[in-house]
Amino acid sequence: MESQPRIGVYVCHCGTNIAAMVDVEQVAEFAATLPHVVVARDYLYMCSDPGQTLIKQDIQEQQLTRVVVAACSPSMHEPTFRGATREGGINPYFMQMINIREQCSWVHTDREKATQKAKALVASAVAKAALLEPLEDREVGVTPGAVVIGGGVAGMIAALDVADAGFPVYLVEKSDHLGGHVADLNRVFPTLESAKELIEPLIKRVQTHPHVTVLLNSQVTGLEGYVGNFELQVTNSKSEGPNPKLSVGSIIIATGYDIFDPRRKPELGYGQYPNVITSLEMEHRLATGDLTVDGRSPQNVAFIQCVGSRDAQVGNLYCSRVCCMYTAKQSRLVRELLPQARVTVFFIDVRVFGKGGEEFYDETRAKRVRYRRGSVSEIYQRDGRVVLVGEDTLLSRPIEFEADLVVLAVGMEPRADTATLSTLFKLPRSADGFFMESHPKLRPVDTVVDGVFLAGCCQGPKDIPDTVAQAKAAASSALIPLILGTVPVESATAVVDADLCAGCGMCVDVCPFGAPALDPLWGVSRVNAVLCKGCGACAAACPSKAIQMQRFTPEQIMAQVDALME
Amino acid sequence: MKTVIPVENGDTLVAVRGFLKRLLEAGVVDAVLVPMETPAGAVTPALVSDSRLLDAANPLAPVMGLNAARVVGPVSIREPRGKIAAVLRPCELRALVELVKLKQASLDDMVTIGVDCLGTYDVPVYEVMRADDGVDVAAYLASAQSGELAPQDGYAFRDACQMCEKPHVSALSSGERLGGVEAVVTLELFGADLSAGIPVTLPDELAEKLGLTDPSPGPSPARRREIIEKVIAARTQVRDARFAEMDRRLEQEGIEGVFAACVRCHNCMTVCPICYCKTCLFKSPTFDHEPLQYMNWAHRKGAYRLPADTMLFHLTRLNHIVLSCVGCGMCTSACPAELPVGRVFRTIGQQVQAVFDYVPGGNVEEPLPLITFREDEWMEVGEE
Amino acid sequence: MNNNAFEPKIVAFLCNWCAYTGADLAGTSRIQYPPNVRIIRVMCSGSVDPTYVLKPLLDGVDGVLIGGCHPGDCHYQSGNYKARRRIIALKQILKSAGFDDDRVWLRWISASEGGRFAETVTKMTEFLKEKGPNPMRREWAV
Ligand code: SF4
Ligand code: SF4
Ligand code: FES
Repeated sequence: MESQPRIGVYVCHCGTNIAAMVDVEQVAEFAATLPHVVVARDYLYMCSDPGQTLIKQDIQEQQLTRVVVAACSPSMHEPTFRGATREGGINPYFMQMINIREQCSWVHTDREKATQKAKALVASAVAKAALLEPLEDREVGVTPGAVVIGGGVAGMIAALDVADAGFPVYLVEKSDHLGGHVADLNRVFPTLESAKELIEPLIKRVQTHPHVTVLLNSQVTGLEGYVGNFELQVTNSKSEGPNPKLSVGSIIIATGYDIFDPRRKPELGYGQYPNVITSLEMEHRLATGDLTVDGRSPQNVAFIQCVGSRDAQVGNLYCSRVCCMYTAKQSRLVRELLPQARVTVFFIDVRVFGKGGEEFYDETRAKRVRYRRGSVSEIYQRDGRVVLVGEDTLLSRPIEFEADLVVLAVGMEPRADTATLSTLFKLPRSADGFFMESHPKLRPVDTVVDGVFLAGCCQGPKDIPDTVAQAKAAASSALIPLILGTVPVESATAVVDADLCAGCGMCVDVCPFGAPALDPLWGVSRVNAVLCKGCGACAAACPSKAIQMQRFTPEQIMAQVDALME
Repeated sequence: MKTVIPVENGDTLVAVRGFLKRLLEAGVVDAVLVPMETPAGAVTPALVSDSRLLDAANPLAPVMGLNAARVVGPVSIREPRGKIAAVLRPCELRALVELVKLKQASLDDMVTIGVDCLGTYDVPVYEVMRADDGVDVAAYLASAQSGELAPQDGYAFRDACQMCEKPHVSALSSGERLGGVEAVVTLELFGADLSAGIPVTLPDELAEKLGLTDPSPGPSPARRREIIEKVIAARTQVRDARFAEMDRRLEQEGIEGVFAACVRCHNCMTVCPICYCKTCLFKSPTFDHEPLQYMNWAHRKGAYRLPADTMLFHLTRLNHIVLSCVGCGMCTSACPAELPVGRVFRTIGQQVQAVFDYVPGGNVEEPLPLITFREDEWMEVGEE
Repeated sequence: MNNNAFEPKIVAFLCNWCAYTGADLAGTSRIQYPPNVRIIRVMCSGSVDPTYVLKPLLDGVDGVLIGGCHPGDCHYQSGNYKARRRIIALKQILKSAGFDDDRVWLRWISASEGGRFAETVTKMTEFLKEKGPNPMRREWAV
């Protein structure tokens, strides 16, 4: 029997993220009064090196046997603090986290009550920590290989990186060809190189790579398993045969985006007047060099930016991040094709932040492309031309502008099938409707589902370089489990106290994974830890608690409940 | 096959004993599990292998100190085991069905002999009756024929028996069920003149082995049915009145009021045929608390009821077993504080069982409600 | 608004994969809700033993919330289906035993439903304010 536990409590400020709404000093002072607590501290960033060092030092100097960290969600930093605890010299599972950021400071506005609540949560964590049992890390083998969903630039780059590392990759593409939206472009900004020359070698490499299997006309329709060992059901819309099941260790989602349909803004006349076209249609025209409308070369060309972006009316509050640059590019190319024409860009703001972007924009303006700050609220037809009506937002004057070709710089939207995939993969979406990364700054390609990563515009609008960067990041993250060859699995499993077990087999009946079985000789339950996923269903069903879930024992849970009541 | 065990000189008990002896002598079973009378007159179950000793067997004694399903478990649960005939009352048979589902007993190698129940006394009552007035066995057995089930003057049947609406058995082999509790062999007392013969239903093959080859219709099924319906109607009336009364009490006082005088002796759990845990959670260290913990609770609540966790014990026990509660009422019999434990469990049990459309003690094949589920049930729950 | 000074206490058992993550999302999205709830993380709603719900109720907590994944979404396939039956049974027992079973809420909340989590806590807090304190807060009255 272990002697009395010695607990250290660490209350994190998270900069001001927690400290602004929770009186962290007070929480630490309170923690110091709790049973078995020998040291309680608050610190600016517990996850920082000095923060972790605090824990390690205290374990050694104060002979701590348990650690409680009151900070952010365990889904963020549980591994971090387990690591620090291990390095301090005690079993990593002697660390208990409690979340006072997502559950207190970020959701409450009354500092006193938030502090009160934080104290109760810390008390419950301390109560549980005192009863924690040591555990061993466990791992299972990984199925080598990855599935990449989406055959655009993001998907192809990610697939190639994983394949180049020597792992089999299945590239699942819904349409009948690779290349995605980039395949529809003419030239790309700011280098003006041909999109075809960019994309075709990529497609060729993918098609000929020995480790890449391309599945066209295919969609993922089923998913089972977890990081390291996923099973995906793929359905081919063209073939009758049996649908393949893919077994892989990680998954990259690179499903891209949909283009905003300007018909949703009927006031702009798209679909009604031949003079109004989308930027994508402009790409085709630029590719052929034919800009004529009704057989005549336009004299007055207008571009309207932010169509379907930054627009509360259509529900898209975000910036699509590429329209400013491609408008600059297209207007420049129009200028070159029609040296005599007037080329005007109506913008709300010009955002040309990428490498070489600002320079390109400056050059474009120097080439007599007129930029006019103004919002266009309506387009109507007059004598074969169209009239743009709106407001000059710089001069606060109404605009009435005649043009014979108008280009709508349409933005990006989440793909229509995002909802389906979100349900299938249990992936949350952010407010803009795109897939949500697990952390906007620190884990931009990870998702809440371990082993599933995001690449490209399915996570939010971005240009080609950013897409490629994210695709490569996703590939390298997806490679981690493949290269390691094992993934950690839940260390806490169900355990049976054979002396208490009456052999009723309730645990056997409720376990979805066949982990417990009745020993035919002794008539008591035994758990096959390899099969146990740690859900705890068996423990809830067992009336005498002969089977218990480690880290969630009745003693621990009831101690937590009790502490919360104070 | 339906036949009649002949009764000589009006001694029904001797006829029953003779029947049990034949089971042993014909080698049908290795032992008989049956209530036996001690020389001093107390009644307790025993596993009897020597047929001569069955002269002390008394499955008709109107006393119940134990739900015998509890003792069937250990002698049947796993191989190797002997072949056993167990003489059981309807509430014991029903408890046995639940225990089989809970893997605490087995029906393999088992001949269940179900006996219609005319009502039982608590042990202390039976002892007083024996000492003071003697037990009027003839009148007791005669009540089977009339269906006027009444305790001896000045005494009362066990609380659970007074409201028992499942006092009869039905043979597994017979077509007509009458909603009775099933057994392999059934001694059908209701509607019969037991001084003349005991109607019995049993599998043909077994009848042959026992030399009971002469099929006899016994009293007409209609007569039996009529008597059973009469008994059920009377009992149901009592039951419903008690349900209503207990509902009222629970609503007004709460279960904590009804169980206020509980001393947490765990007797109810110990005698409950369904409570099968080796060590009750409430006897485990999980519910050992530090002295300071009690002080905290006292501070929190102003006054803290002791023994601690008493309501948690009862509510948890309800959670664990109420769906399987067969209403034998041994808990009430065992409670030193004379609390209406059985009435509480039956009243609540009946409501919870209705939610899951589950009849405890019914069919061995029907799974326990809390280990199964359907995906498309209660779809509205959790979504509001 | 209720200007009653009574502040209900709620204990919430949230499954790690959906409801707890949903609560995290309410945090990262800065969706405000009343501070009356105290969360205990469990791996799955199917691991919530009714005794864990009874314990705080008898100790005087005003409400217990059990949060799990929507049907079909349980990380362990069927934990929430089992939880559903167990909690239905528990609520019926409480009701039949003369307790207020409305103090026990079972709700499905997905990892992406931060708003739904906040809303659930808000509604439950309001509801319990209306209802008043759990009589088990103090066992004796004189
Ligand atoms: S914890 Fe879950 S997976 Fe493990 S044995 Fe129990 S029911 Fe099965
Ligand atoms: S037998 Fe009676 S006193 Fe003993 S625990 Fe049960 S209800 Fe309480
Ligand atoms: S994991 Fe959420 S309910 Fe099972």
